[in-house]
Amino acid sequence: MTVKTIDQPGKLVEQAGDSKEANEPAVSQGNLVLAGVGGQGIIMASNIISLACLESGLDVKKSEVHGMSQRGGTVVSHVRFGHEVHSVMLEPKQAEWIIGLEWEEGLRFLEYLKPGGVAFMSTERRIPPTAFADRLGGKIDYALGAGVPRGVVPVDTYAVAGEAAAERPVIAQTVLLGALSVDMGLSQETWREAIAATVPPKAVQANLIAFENGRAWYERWKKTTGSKPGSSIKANDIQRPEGVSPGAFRAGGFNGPDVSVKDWRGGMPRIEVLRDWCKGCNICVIVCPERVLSLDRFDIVVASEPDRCTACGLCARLCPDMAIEIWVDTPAHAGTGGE
Amino acid sequence: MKMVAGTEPGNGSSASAGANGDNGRKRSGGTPVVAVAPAGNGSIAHSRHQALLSGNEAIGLAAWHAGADMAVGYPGTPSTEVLEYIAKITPESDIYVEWSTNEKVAMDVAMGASLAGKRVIVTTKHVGLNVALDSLMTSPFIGVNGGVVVFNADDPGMHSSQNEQDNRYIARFAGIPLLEPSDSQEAYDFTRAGFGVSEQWDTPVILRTTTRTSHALSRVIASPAEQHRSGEFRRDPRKYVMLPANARPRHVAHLERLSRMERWAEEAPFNREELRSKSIGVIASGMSYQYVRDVLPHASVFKLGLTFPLPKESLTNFASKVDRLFVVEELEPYLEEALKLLGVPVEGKEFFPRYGELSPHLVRVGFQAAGILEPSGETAGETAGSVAGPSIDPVGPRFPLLCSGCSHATTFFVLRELDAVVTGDIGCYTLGATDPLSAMDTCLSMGSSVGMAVGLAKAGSTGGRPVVAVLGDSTFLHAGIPPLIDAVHREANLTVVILDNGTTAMTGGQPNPANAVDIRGGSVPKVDIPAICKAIGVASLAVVDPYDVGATRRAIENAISKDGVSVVVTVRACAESPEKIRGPVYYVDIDSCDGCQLCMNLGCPALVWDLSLDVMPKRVRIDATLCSGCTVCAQICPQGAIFASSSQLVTASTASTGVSVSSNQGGRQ
Repeated sequence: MTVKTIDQPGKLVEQAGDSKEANEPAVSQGNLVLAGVGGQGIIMASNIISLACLESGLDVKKSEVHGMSQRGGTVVSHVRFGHEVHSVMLEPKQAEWIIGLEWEEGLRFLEYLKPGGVAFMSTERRIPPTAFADRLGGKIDYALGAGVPRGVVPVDTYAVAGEAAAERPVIAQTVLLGALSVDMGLSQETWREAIAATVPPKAVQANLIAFENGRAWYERWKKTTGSKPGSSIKANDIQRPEGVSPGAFRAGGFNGPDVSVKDWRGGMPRIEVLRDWCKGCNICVIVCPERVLSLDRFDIVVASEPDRCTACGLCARLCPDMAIEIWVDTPAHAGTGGE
Repeated sequence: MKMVAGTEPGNGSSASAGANGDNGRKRSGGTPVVAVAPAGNGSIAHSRHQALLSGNEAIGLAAWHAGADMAVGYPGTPSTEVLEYIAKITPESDIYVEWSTNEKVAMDVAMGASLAGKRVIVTTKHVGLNVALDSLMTSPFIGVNGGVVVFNADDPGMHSSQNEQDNRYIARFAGIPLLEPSDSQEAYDFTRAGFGVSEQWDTPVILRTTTRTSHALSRVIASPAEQHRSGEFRRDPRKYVMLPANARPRHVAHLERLSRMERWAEEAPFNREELRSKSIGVIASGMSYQYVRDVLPHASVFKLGLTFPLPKESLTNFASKVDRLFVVEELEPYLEEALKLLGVPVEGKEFFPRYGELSPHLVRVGFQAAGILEPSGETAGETAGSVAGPSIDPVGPRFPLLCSGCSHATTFFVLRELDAVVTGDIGCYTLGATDPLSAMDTCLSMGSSVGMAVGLAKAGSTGGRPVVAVLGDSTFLHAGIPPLIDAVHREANLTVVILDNGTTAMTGGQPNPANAVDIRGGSVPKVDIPAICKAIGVASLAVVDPYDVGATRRAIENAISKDGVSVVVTVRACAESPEKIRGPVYYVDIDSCDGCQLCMNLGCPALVWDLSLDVMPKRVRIDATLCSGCTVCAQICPQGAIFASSSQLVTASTASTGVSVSSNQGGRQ
């Protein structure tokens, strides 16, 4: 079989004369959902699967949505293969397999998993910046808990990739594809050729190693766990987000200390404006990160949104006239922030 | 590259519809069997070639194989990849590819080339066809010499659009034949056939896809390529010059043609009747057909590939063969209304939504509501917990964001500070409306930021807040110039900020007329945006680097203070462009950061909470893998706590406030 590409994802296949019948796949039809964060290689991974199916003589369709393609959004791809495929999209509970390149994105699409299906999910976590909106309470809007739902095989992709992990960005996907290949069938040679035709040339070797390591890891994993995804995983198996202290993980989910400003400051912040000293220069209004302050009709600063104040003290510190004081329990003047 | 299936010019194979699409597969009995051609089957040489292509790539390949001489369009999701694919796989000498200034320009370029005897494909998204509509409506009066296929991609569900209009109505409105493929193979076949239909009926043809058909990949088997057409322009003023006296007889001819096309539609090879169960019949086209085949595999289906004009007799005939008849269609009840006008009893929109994207699941739910399918355990009655187990965590949202190092962030940061009424436009920068930037008040359509700003300024009731229009370089050239002329001529008091990042970023970085390169990377003359503004008569004009926060703030503040029309052009390459300047990665000095999180108001994805510290308020950490080194956060940090990783001190000299914030004012020094 020869594989020729007409563009980067390597989509065009020229079938040479050899017989495909000898290469009958172990699984003749199936459905997959691949999910992750933009830039993680979702589309490349689904291209590899589709190409491997096509080369195995199967009909295959694949769907994803591009467009609002700024970095950081959710990317999901559906792949369906069989002797004849109609719809490009799955219904919930139709996927035999889910590939999650990011932990929370895997969870997001778990509703597509068929009962008895397997979700191979990277334990890598990418917390989106929008999860950090609660500046007062410090709650993180992200699934940080350590629970592993039924059907999920958590994979520490970088650890499994081993020496291939030096080329991280393109490795996690092929580790998961290696695990998938154990259950999905298709010949090893077909998988390898599909990878070689799809990933950038200089990354082929590392990806092939990662694929083998992923495959070997899952075969071992099936033996040791008795092939029950999600049944015998300990919380510690889930990789912590980068930079999170071990103590931050708690059973049942970590969502930041469940406290209000009042708790961590010892009292609600109180903004006191010395009206006689304020000359309405507007500096504090502009610098306040939470947009708490405004000028009143006399051009004197007032706290118009006092509930949003985090007592950071920036206004007090930058006031040229020292007209603002932030009080919590004790007067928390500029810079000390009440700590 | 010559390895693309069927690139060799064929032996004059016809472009007529029936000649294409049969290679290597059967279509009898309503079950198209797409099989890999067995080795040694030499009957059709090219049938051994197959490719996995998206609908858009298949359309691009087909246009090339159909001998098209020209491909023109304006980028717009989900239509963009057609021209990009043509530019990628074809030699420059073979086909002229152009990102036009806007869709109307593209349509006009196409009509000109067609009259010169060339085959042309025009590409646009659904709302882009609105821009081209002026020319499109009259184009069937003029007709074609070389075939014109207008590729239109609708976006049900608004994955990347401001509305989800159903452009099948535009085809009916203009009286233009409408082809709707349901997978990549049909996208290829219908595109190739479309040129023939266009020439046969002397009118442009609309090829309509939806996001799913355009972006889904499936197998394509190509057929032998055709030679380019030979032809040249010949004068024919009575047909080409639409003076009223000429247009009147052309309208009559147009209507006569419509009635002849209706008869042709009955036999056209784009439609097929698949008889199975007599109890249920479904009429569907495009991706809806595929969903129906999955959800109701035993139903009889009339699959429409030609949805204007409709084969009325065949549809009526089909209706008589089944007990209960449904129409399954995305968006508007276009087919349903047409069938009801024919007096055919049909059910549809009472079970299937008129908004959003259809899915196999929604088709199933619709047929369950109609009593055709029993609610089954597979889709109903189970809670998520029973499958996923009890320990699933709540999943937070993950929205698209402006990139780290995005040159637009500073502008919105400043506009929010200045409390301006900001009319926005179509592009990446529409994300300036989202938290935490929250600095955009309107977004209507391409170029409308400037016109709406004129309206707001003339209305004079913005509570004293300045009026600022914000739009990108490509959008400005597309539709922002006429309203700027209006603003200057009518002496409106407003500021226009042109965010010039040197590309059409939202759709993936296509060149526009303000760039010195074209779609093939060739060198072309570039249009000078500040010079255009000057020529229009803008008195106050400033060009500024948005990576300089202080300068940007002063420029915009100064522009706002001026009477009349002022323009600020912010020039900095898109963070995703190849020429981006990646400086040293920045980091937060944890001893200096006091957690004010002012920097996080930029909405930069690289700025996150530092979770290694158990303190409140949360300190900020810079994700080194995402930081582009743009320096903007370091410039605005009141503590001077953000430094380049090479350890040199960044002087947070002039923050956006215009206030001098030197680092010795930090809390802990």
